[in-house]
Amino acid sequence: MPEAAESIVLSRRGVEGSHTLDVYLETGGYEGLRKALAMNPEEIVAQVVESNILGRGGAGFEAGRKWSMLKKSTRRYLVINGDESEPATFKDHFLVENDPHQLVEGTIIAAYAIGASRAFIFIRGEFALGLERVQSAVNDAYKIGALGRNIFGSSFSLDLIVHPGAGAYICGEETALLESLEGKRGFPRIKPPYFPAVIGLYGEPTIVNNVETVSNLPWIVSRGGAAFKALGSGRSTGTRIFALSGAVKRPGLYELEMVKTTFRELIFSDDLGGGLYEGRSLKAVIPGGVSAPWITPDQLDLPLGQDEVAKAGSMLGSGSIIVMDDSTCMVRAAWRISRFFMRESCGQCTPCREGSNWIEKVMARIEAGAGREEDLELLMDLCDNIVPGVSWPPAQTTICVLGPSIPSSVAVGIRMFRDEFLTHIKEGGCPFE
Amino acid sequence: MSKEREEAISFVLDGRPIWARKGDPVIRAAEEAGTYIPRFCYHPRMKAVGMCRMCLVEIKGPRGFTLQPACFVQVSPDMEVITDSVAVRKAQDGVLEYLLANHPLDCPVCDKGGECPLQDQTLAHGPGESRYVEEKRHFAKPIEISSIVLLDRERCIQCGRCTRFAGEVVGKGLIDFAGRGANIEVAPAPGGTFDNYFSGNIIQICPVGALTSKSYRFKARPWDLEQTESTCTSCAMGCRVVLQSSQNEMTRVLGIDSDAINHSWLCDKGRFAFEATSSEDRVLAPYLRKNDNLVEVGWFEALTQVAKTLTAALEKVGPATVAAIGGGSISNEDAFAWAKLLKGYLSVDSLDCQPEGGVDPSLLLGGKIATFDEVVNSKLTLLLGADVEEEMPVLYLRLREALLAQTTSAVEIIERRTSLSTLVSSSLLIEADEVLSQIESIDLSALAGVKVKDLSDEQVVVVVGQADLLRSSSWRSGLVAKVLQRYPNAKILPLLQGANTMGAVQMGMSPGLLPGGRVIGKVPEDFPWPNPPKSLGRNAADVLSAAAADDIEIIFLLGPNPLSGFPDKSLVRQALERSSMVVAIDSHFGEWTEYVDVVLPLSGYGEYFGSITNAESRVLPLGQSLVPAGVSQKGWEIAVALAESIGYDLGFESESDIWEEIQAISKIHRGFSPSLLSTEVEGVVVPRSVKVHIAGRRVLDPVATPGISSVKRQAAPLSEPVAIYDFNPDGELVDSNDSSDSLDELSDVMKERPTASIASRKEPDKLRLHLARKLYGYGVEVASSPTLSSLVSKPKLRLSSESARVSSVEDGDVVRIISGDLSSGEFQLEVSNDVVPGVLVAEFVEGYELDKFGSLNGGVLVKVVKA
Amino acid sequence: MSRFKDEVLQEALELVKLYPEARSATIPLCHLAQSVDGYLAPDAIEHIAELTSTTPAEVHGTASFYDMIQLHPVGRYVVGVCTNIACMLQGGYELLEAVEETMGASVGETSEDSLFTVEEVECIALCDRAPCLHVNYRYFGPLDEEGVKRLKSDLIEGRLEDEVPSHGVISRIKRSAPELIPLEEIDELRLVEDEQRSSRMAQKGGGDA
Repeated sequence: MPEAAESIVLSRRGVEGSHTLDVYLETGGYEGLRKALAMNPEEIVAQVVESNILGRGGAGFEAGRKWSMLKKSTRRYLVINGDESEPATFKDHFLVENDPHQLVEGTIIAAYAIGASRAFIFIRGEFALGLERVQSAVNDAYKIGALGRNIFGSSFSLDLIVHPGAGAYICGEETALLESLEGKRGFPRIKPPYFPAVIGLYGEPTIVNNVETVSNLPWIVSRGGAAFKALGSGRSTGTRIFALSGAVKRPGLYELEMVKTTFRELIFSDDLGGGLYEGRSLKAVIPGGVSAPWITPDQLDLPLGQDEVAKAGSMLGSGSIIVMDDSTCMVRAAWRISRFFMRESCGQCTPCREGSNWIEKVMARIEAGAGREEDLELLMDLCDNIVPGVSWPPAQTTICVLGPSIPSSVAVGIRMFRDEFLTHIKEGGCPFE
Repeated sequence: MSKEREEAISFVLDGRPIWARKGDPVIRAAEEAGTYIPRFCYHPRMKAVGMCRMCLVEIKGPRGFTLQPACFVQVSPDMEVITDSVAVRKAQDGVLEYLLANHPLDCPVCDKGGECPLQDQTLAHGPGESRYVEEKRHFAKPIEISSIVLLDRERCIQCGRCTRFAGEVVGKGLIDFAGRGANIEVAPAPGGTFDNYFSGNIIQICPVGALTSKSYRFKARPWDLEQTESTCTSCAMGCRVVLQSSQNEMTRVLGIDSDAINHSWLCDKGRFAFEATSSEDRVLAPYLRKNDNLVEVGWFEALTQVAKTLTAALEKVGPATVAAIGGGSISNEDAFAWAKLLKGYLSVDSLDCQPEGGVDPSLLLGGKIATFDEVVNSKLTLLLGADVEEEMPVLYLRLREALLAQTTSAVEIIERRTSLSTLVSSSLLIEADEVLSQIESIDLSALAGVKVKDLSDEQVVVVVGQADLLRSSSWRSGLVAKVLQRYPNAKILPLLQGANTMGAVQMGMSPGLLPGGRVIGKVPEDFPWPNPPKSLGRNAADVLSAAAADDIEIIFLLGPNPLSGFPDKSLVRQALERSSMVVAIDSHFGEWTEYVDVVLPLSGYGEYFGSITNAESRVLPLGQSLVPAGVSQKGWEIAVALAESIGYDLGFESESDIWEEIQAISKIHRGFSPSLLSTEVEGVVVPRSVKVHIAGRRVLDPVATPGISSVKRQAAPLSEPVAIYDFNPDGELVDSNDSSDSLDELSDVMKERPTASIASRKEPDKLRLHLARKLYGYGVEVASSPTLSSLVSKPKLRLSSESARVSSVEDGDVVRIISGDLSSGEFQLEVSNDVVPGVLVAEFVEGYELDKFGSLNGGVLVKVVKA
Repeated sequence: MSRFKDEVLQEALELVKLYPEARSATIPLCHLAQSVDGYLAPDAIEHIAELTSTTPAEVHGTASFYDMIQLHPVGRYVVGVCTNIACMLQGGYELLEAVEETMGASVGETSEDSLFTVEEVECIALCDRAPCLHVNYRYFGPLDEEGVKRLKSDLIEGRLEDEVPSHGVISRIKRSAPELIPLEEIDELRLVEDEQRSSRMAQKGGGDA
């Protein structure tokens, strides 16, 4: 399978100076916004609803439906979530550095569609270059009249603020992101009642959209929602960027029509992942972020579609795909993921704060060869105390979904590779060292 | 409470239909229905955050039953809640095990051991042994986060009660969570502290032993503690407390959650005042001055000496040469007995329980007194010369909460900004001299944002403050009178200085008054006191002036240093020097001891039971938790003994004898009996005709205030109220044999007093001195409690930039205050436009020579010069 | 060490103005303070609290939540090595060891010459160039031991001066735009637009019927 016939958000990849205003304008930039301003806001909403674009942040909620849930209020905000921190997800990083104008244009279109009072692009603080590129793009946009008073001569006026994060994974969670944007610790809010569309930034109704999601908007407005919907299949419409990493020859970003490609094709096609290193065989794949249950070699023919992967007991999430071959120690992989959650738990809820800490310590002990057989049962029970029943999709004892993300890799690791855990325990060390 | 919250709804709790108030959290509704859901972070007086997850229960939603925090979810009609399923128990046990994972097992040496919610829950539900074999989290052992509070971060379970208390209740986020995840800790700013007037509350609400008090640390074990319910006497708020003692030593005071009063909070002054009871300067025996030295003597000798001198003086020159100052800090029973002795038998009328000026008795007795609940729910609260945080700290917390929740709107009129200035609708800085003429033209309702048509004058409350100690009571009453002309039915809340000033006034401890607001010269024939005064006596300031002019023979000082806080110390010195005999009925030796001829030892706070009446005229019980120090006696016992030495029988052998007589002669106290105090947890507002909203009894949440359990409630040993009065269905007293309304006549008597004139500023560089009342400014608690005396800070001076220009001084200058030949020490000056021009604000703290310029009668003009 | 002064104070005030509520500027101001001092000094915390109408404890509480805000002095270069799963699979921990060795500092520590502070960081979203690291949030990867040595000499010898500013400097591009439109003015515009929208909806509804 080749890349999608139509490249949407990555259409300027490889074009020199793709981040500059000149190149952007030469390649059709801001045409979508001009067209949008000639339409009524509700027509844009209708186009986006028709496109059925699913949010690209990880939860995969229909963007158009999200907009229509915005509570009526004179004051309302648009916040773009560019706090991409999900392990092995690097699409937004690429977009903010290489096509910042597309993001800015999409943001202005979204703001016009929902009538935002002000828009904020929250960019992960570590993306220093991205912050510079997006700020330049915003400065340029003001210069050409795409921001500020009476955008492109229309009656629509908007200010757009670029806001830097400061390093905390949890701020990718939209309510934590709003807390952070309010200058506070990134503690997620309890939903209900704090659904952003009802009580969001400064208590006002707020839409939070992902960078990739709004980067699609110029194209959707230019070509129409139907054209977007014509790509992909079922609920998974259009294209999306898959971030391939791990033990493959050609890791990278691949924009693919949804559902039309399988995991196997993405990993093994010569023009995509290019396959594994010589002599290696596939052990497992982590799709959609490190909280997703792992995919086994026998599931590789699953298509890259949201519902399709969900039906198979995992999730497409943020569109990241981590490949692990037979040289990978699964205990070590699961331990490293548990370490990630331990370091990123915000500390608010007891099960997440203490559970992530405890689980990581036991996992580290097992990987280091000091495990006990009863540790496996202990681990499963510690997981159960965060996710009752250790089920998928997970139930939870915590405020946000970081908590229930913790058990996944550990529980899946133990269930799928129990022997490897036992070998660590019996041999008193890691067999892969 | 809004109408919506009062609305009752029904929901299903573990299969039973339950009635609950709409809007209540599930945890509270369940508790009221008898189902206790375990919790750590939830506190009934703060917003729920759903953090600790201990209160997870199953609640049915669109996706069936899911685990939800019972503290955060509000009950809604037909909601289905399960609290006892396997899933709930598993989740709660899991949370408990997680909390214990990193919690040190140092319970045997932990102050919280024995009253620790974490320990209790572990005992009840926890596993026998820990599955946690990893290394526990380590932090450096206790760090000081304030002058009072120590933080042991290893014990912290991150419930956020303390941080929420700081930000939400006090409004000063001086501590916050720092760090993230497992490394999260409570921390002040680098180099900062949690010093504020309320810091001790975080010790009380901490559900583990992470926050401890420096003074209580390692002092006692909870199971050794005797618990006695009582009332704080540090100010006239009357916060409900439990006194805890061990081996006849008070170790700790905790706040009781009273709906009407303190919502469980205490200020640090109230929390640590008890230390004064065991201080080294306690008076343990009577003392008599012999050859210029105070010598310890027996009661008989001391009383005989006083009786002899007293009888001689009365015979020689009459009752006008005898006076008593104080009485606002002793109990109702004490005040009544002393009033009976001095007024009823000796015809002495110069009794003044408000030496500092205070609030005119006619306002206290004749006006309508507002309750705290009425203050926080009034349509319009007028803060008149009030600095609530300094004068009545816990009321400040309640007003702050009300202003934020907009249950009241307030207008402040004062000479300088206060900590409420940013919360009130309008803060007017007006010079005190001018406010009398201006107040009528101020549109108060407009400033409060209340529409005139929506405002009936019953919904107006005037909080009468004493923020400037140099203002006279006539200035205050003149101002209030003008407000009352506009709103005749407005209620008043006086920020009185003594814990029992209201009670003392009601017992007749003001010139011209007899108990129950009766005035002298108009007593009925059957009045039981044999010899009430015939002519109007002097107030305290006049007594002191008269004494300084050799017109007074004997001065009684009633209660713990009643002249502390009197702004003119040179007058006091002269007066005490020139009187023939000064008799102090006091619990502590103090600043005037060298001028005193007789000291009669008075039992201290926590050493006797009785009652006081707080600023809202609510009678509240004092509990006894200690054997009185030395041979000290209760105030009323001393009065009875002195009467006996003179040859009179006051007829009192117990508190109930006293109350029997109070009820007989005081209209205010009809229908009141001290036995009511053993059943009415919120005390009793008098007169009982006042309609008071009685809140339902709060369920005692052992986790909200760990450490309070099996509180002993004491009352006068009476089985039945002595006099039974009838009440109509509205709760009004149906009784009026006594048709003459003596309260109405009271104001006429008061009018006979000369009104103090106020000095006016003729020279532009002269500033009027404003002595700002400070919580730790003066008083026996501050002087004798080690914790509190360590909190006293050097006073600051403030004046406006305009005044600074005229006086040629600048911000940061070190300056002196001068007036005539008098000069103060050196202070740092702050130039701030939070002060009205023409006024120099000096924080009044004893020991800094700020009380040498003062006089209550004229206002003091001073200059400020660079040192 | 320092409160904001002169142009930096101007910039700080501009930042505060960008937000409907001043507290939102907390993190941007922390970055600004770090761009001057290299870390967030206690005086800066106090100044930020004044500018955002919060308390120093709250600013400290917020700042300490975030990995990028340093509450203690760090080296001129903070080197953050990713060891998260994608990098680990490609030798992230080996890279970390090489960095510790080469830079002369263990994780969490600063080299004796005060040039390098080494950190182990979570995924920095450069997974197709794993194993990778950042130096003051400028990204490098994939790297091996040789690459780390080269990187060190490039940094020390000034070959990366333009690319890698000293620690604390994040975006060197400042906002350049007209004064913000007051939100009250926007409110009025939106009220009008909302009315037009609902009348259009009503018309459309009427037409359909």
